[in-house]
Amino acid sequence: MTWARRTTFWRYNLFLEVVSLALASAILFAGIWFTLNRINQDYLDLRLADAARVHVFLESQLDEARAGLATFADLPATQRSPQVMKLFTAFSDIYCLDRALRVVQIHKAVPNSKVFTGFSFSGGKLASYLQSVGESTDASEILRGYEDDAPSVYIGIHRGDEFCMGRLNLDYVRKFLIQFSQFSGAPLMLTASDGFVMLSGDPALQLPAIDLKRWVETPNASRTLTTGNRRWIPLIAPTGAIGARIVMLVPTEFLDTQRNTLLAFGLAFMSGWFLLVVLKNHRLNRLVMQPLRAFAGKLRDLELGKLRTADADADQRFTELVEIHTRFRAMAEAIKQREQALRDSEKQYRIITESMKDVVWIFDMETRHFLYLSPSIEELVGVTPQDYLAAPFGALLTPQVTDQLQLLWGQRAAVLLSGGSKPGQSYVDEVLHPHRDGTLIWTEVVSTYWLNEETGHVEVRGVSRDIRERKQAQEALFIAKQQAEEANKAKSTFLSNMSHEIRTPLNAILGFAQVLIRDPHLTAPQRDSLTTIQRGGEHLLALINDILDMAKIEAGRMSVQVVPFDLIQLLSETEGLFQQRARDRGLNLTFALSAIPRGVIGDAQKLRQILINLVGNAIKFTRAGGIILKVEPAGAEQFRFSVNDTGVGIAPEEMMRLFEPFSQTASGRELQGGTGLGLALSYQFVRLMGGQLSAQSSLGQGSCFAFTLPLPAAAGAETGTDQARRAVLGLEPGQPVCRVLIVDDLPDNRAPLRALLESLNPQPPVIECREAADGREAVALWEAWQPHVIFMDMRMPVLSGEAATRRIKARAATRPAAVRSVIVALTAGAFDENREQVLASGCDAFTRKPFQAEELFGMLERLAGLRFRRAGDAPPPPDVSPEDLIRRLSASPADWQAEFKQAVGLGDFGHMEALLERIRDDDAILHETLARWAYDYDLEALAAVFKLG
Amino acid sequence: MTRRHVFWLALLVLLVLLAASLVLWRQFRSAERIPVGLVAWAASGAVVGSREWNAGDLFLEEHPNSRIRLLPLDDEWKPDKTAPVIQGAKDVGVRFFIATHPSNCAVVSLPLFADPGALLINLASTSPALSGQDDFFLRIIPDAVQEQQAIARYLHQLPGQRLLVLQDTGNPAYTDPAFAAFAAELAALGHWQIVHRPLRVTEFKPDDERPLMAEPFDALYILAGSFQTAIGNIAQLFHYLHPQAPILLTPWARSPAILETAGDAVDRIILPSPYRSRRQDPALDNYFRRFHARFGYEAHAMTIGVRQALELLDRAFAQGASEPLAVKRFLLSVPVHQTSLGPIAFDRTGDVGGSYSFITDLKQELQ
Repeated sequence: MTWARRTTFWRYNLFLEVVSLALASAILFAGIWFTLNRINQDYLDLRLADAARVHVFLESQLDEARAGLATFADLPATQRSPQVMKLFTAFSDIYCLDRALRVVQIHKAVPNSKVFTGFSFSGGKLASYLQSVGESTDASEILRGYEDDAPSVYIGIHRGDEFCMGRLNLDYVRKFLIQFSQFSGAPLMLTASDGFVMLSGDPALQLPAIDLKRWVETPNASRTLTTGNRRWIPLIAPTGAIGARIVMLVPTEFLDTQRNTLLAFGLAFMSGWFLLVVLKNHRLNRLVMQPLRAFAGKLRDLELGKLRTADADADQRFTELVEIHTRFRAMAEAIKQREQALRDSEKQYRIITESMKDVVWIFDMETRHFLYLSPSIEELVGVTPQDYLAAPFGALLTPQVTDQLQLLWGQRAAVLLSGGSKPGQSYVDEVLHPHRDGTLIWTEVVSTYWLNEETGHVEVRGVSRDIRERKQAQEALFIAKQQAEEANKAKSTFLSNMSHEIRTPLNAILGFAQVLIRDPHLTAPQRDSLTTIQRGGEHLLALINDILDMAKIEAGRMSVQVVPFDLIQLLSETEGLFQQRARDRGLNLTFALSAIPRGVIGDAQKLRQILINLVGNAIKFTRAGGIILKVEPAGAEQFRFSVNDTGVGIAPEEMMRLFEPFSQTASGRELQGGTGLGLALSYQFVRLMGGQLSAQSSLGQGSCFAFTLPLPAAAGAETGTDQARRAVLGLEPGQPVCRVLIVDDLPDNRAPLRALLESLNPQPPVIECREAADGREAVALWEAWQPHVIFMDMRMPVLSGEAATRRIKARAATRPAAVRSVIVALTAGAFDENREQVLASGCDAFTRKPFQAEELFGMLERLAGLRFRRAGDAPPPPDVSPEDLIRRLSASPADWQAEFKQAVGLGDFGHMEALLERIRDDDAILHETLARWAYDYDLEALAAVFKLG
Repeated sequence: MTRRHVFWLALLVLLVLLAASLVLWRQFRSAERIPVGLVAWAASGAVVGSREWNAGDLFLEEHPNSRIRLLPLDDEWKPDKTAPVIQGAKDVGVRFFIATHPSNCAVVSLPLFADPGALLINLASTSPALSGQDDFFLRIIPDAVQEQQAIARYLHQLPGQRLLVLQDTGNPAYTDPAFAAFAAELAALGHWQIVHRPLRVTEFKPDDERPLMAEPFDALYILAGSFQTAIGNIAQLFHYLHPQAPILLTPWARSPAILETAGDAVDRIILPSPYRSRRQDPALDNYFRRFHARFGYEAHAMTIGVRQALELLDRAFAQGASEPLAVKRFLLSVPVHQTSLGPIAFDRTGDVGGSYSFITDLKQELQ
């Protein structure tokens, strides 16, 4: 709550006192006024009643007079002697009148009466009375007597023919009035009906008339008349029998005295009160207000820092003030201590602020002036703080920066004021500040926005820092980054091109190899040759794939393909891959699986690749003993994979570079096999899949590679069928014709695929192939020929595979009767993102060049509904022990052995395959075993056999 | 704006308001009232049944905006008191007076109005001694000479030879020159033989006057003023002795009290008056009715003059004249002043002339 008008307590108290005094005065004087009115009215009513009682006296007089006149009337004329008349003292005059109201006889008269025998009373009010005698009126009004102009009251009475009239002797009444007036102190008067005073109780009072109409109203102390130098309140009694108005003049002295007494009392009371108020306020001022003012002065001193807390306490009258004084001293002492602490703190901060290179400043958004600038501003921009503070905002900045800062700071201040941001929220800007020498300096401005509660202004508090070196470093870094990105881009382009350029011929090589190897009419040497070609191509392809994978990892473009898969099957297949080799080398390969689910979600391909690599290495570097692959749960939906071997182990100094690409351990270099990418890829794959591949090894004792992967359980894992693993012999006859369009700009790519597909045909053929050299030709053929399956190369001139796919899909969508062609993308691209892009264009499947026949057969089976004929399960590899193998090898021709061993030493697989063909018929088991190792390029196994042998 | 500024601004506004109020008050306040002393006999009402002061009260009640402030002055119609009373009033700043006293009072007060220090309008003093003087004593009734000549001329028209003239010795300043003028005029006119009897009317004793009145007279002229009720007693005695003889009174007997006292004699009374009878003058009749309604009694004729004098002064004050000289100039500059109770035309010395009515139907006058 705020007061519109604020005043001092002393004034307010005085105001209240004056108001209460005025109010009390009003109440007191209203009470006095009311009391006076009441008393006066009662008093006047009492006096009026007294006046009215005079009528009683007058009526008694009148009754006596009436009785006397009756007695006179009854007297015989002879007895109305002067002596007898004197007895009728009630009358001053007695007449006998005739009917014309003329005086017939005067029986009694005042001396010097102007009435005479024959005098007529026929005029005026008396005549009216005399004419009504005997009816209702007992006496005439009081009037001036005809005899002597004296006040008179006449009474008339009829006795037979005689009409007697007497004039009352009012001397007794006059005396009564005088005595009554003297006794009561209130002159009593009898007036005629016209207000003229006939008899007065105070003859000295010169009051000839009373204005009856004016004074007949209810008497009031305020309505007075002045006569005889005194003020009177006229009281007019009701008319009585005598026909005169009784007027009582009540002197106002009594009422005045009464009023003055009460007023004096009231004034004295109020004066006393006033004096008390004055005295009280004087004391209040001295004992409370002055100490309070002194206290305010001390507060001011405290505010100005002049207060001496050592001052002695003032002698206070009231304990409250003493308490305030004491508390104030304590508070002042506390404030002093805090101020000292604050000063110390501020000093420290000032030292820090002024010694730091960064510029600390405060800016007032309202006045657009800096409130503070630390001295380091001079070092930063070459301008002293004083000059900077004196200069208007923007004078030392470039106009562009000034505008930007004003806009930016204004927006942030507005946000702060609107509640959009909290006070103190910091912002970081980089501002180009001109130096006095004309150069421009990059500064980093960290600013916060505050609302100054006292001024109501928004203040920007900030720190400006010289970031020239950082900016230079950033620029260098930026350039380096750009260069790196360009180099990376060039690398990617190179890899992509290389991938395309290598895969394209590999596609033809492997494609035709796969086609030719399917020819049942091949001789054994031909088959071996083709197998060698195929294996060499695949090895080359694997090498390229590893290099590409490594490049993709380095480029951050390797992604994880998370799909449900059968973990147990994957492990089983892996085991199947190595079991024979392990046996060949006389090793124990054990897969120890404990409580793992079948179906999990993850990247099966990479996991398989990791396990193949680790198990392959373990077998490769273990000469005796065994290898154990353990898979066990390691928490919620996490599984720990570990491969333990009893191999040669790894030296501690090599452990650091174990997972670096293209680095090989000493034992690896001894074997002269591998690219040095296996562990590096495995490490990266595990990392990509959310795990960490670790290795523990003791030289000569063995190694343990382990990792833990999150593999959430899947509702049902996609499992491979036995059929998938069996070789496709051809298409089942009797199926509907399947039109296959092969689109590729290179005939060398189209030809092997076409040959492969047509080699599957039974009689009559099921697959009918056509070729197109680009996308436009493909679209045209689709329109004309409506193929069921299209193998679409993506990278073609004229119209790319993607564009052609979109057109075909778009046209098919508008033509319900058209064949819904399955489009399989064939690409020689290096990176996985090509897959998403290709599938997004509308392709139904994606595969890389060189194509894998089994993969294509699977697609045709799955997408086009073709049914294949597959060979029965291949015979299990010969279960031969190392000793048996050595024995069989020893049994072979010696020259053959030497020639084969030389081929192994040279890594000449072609020669090895040729040599193996020579013993196929002599020792099929030995042939199969060595041929598989040669097929797998497992020089280690081969070398081990000969070393053992 | 600081509190100090607010304080000074408030003070300035207060002063401006005060000044404006003063200007407005001076502009719109009623004109200052001018005291007018009404010299009369306070007890006259109790004695003669009518009060001139009441006429003044009635005027002010009917003219609330009048600038006149009436100041009652009681000289008791006694010459020895008149001058001190008037001088006392002059001493306290009263400069205008209306007087109802008889001539003997007026004569002694005449020097008080020789200069412009004060102005008096007299309405009851007919002494010729007051006539023809260029002073500040104005008179709105004809003087006694004109009055008596008119009465003589009227009497001359009546049959008879022997006239009893009773001259009041209580006011010789009036009755002496009046009788002289009357006698001279009557003598000049011819046939009436005057039997002159001086007496103090207030001390009238029937037994003393009866022998003279019992003599054969054809008419009675009571040369008395001051509205003395004994005039009625005298008239009754004469009427009792000479029932058919006319009785002439002076204008200063036009009082209901006198006429009521006169009893049956009222039928034979002839009342000369500078004012017409109530029956003849509706304005006059209306005035008396208003007077009776207000004060409860029938007023005597002097109240007519009081009313006229007040109207003249009020008119002069309304014209802006507030000094005796200016008032006199105004009053004398207008040929005829039309008052509510009849015209008044001053001559250059502040006297008036005029005709007289002789009212015989006095019962009508009493109603």
